[in-house]
Amino acid sequence: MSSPQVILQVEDIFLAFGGVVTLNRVSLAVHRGEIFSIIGPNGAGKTSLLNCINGLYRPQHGRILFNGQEITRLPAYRRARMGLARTFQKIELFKNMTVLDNVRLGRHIHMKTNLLDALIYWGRAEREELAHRAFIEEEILDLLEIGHLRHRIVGMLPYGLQKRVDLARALALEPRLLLLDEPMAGLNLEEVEDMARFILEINENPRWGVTCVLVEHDMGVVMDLSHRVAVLNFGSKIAEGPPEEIQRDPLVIQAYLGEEEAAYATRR
Amino acid sequence: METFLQLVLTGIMVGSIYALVALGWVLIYKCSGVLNLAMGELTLIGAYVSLTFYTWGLPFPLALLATLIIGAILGILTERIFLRRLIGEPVLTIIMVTVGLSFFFRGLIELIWGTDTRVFHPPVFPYEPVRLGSVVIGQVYLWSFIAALALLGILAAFFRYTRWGLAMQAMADDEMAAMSLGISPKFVYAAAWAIAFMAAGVGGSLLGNINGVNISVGYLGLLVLPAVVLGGLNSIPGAIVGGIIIGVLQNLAGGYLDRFTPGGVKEIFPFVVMTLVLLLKPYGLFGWVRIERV
Repeated sequence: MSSPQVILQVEDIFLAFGGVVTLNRVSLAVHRGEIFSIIGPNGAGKTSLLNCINGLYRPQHGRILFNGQEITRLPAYRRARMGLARTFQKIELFKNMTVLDNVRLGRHIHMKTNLLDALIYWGRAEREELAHRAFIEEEILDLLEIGHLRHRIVGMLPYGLQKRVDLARALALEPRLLLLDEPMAGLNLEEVEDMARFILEINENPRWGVTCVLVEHDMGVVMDLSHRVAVLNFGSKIAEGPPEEIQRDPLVIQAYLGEEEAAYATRR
Repeated sequence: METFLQLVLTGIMVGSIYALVALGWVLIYKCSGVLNLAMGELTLIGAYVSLTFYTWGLPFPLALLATLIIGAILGILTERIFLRRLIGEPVLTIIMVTVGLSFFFRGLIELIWGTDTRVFHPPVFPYEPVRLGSVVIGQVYLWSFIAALALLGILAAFFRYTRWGLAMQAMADDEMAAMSLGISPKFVYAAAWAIAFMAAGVGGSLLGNINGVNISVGYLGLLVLPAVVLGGLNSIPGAIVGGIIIGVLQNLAGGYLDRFTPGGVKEIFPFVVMTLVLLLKPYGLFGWVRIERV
């Protein structure tokens, strides 16, 4: 059985679409409090793995345990309620809503009022509403430095800020485990540094203490932030370990870092 | 001038019934991106259910309340039986299922209530019209106008101020993201269909009071489409305004143009207007403009 320090256990996951095997018997264990990165060349199955963990895909074989509880068969929204949040590679924000409404939707699972309370909007409903609003305004928007944008329509914001709103919305769930699917993709250098700072903050600050699973192509970021790294190639896990070890692993260099070396050296 | 005023006012009142049905249409679109082509049948069911309760001797307000309750139950059942398996499927698939649903409901209605026209007896609303200056308006129309306004207020508040309203819009916008935030698609779709059934129930009951109920009332579902498109598919105020505009235009066309043709102008006119509006404002008067960036 898994030890208590393991927050997420993926056991022997097999996922195929028709004849195309996307994940071939992948196992890994994410420890409480760490930043665990999953890297690999394009099409290696990284996002598919996140989708299995998050509940958008259902693997044909294998088990997924979250906090020691099996979640393999649970739909995505049940997993979210257990404290499992995610951000998306291709931004999946509610584009026609304001920043505030987007983040507010992340609070949905924490709200207890029923329709009758809401109708009267007095006592419990009002207190709850104010508490949530304060949490969103003072903690999340301030942390991610998007407070001044709260009434802006998300679809009109520049890409880099949309990435931040995506993170803000996931944080509003107050997750125990956060899946970050290429949070740096498409950002400029300055934005990458901001994003890295935010991820470190939510991981290290005891107020949040969120365990992160990070899928990312930017090797500099991965090696700087991660406690441990797993490498996927054609749907199989070929290595796992601390960043220094991964960088030296010949299999990894051959599969991934080798062809990326040039890109790494000239990183933007 | 007097004829004009009369035509406009009656148009507004008839339009408010269209608006009620349009509301149900918009609701389902707003929450799931699905065009519910069974809307006319939902209206029919509402009309027949309230008529049945009324003929059993319930006073009309109670019959209407009972219709709302039955409507909510039917909405939840529809979601449970037909739509739950389709969560995550392409929208077009679900639209086709609503076509199937419309045939299914139509058959069910004929099976239960037959095809003869039935009327509310004794009449619920007095035939005596209300006089507003020189213009006369039937009481049924006045009440449906009031009902449309009341429902507009309630639903607009629901979407603006409650988290369920927000959750429903989120589900329409991006199902995957909404699920990853812990919003249950089952709940959202059940709620949307329940509310749509209820709005159609109110519309159907009022319509049944005007000309009686028979299967052709169901075609109203399609007639309302121009109202919905005109207002913008996902706008609740748009549904109301669109419904009323269509009612007025239809009445004016009937009053002024019908005499030059063998008839039918009234029926076509809303679709002509719909086409023109779509040429100028593809998202309707109040719809969301979709922002696409690549």
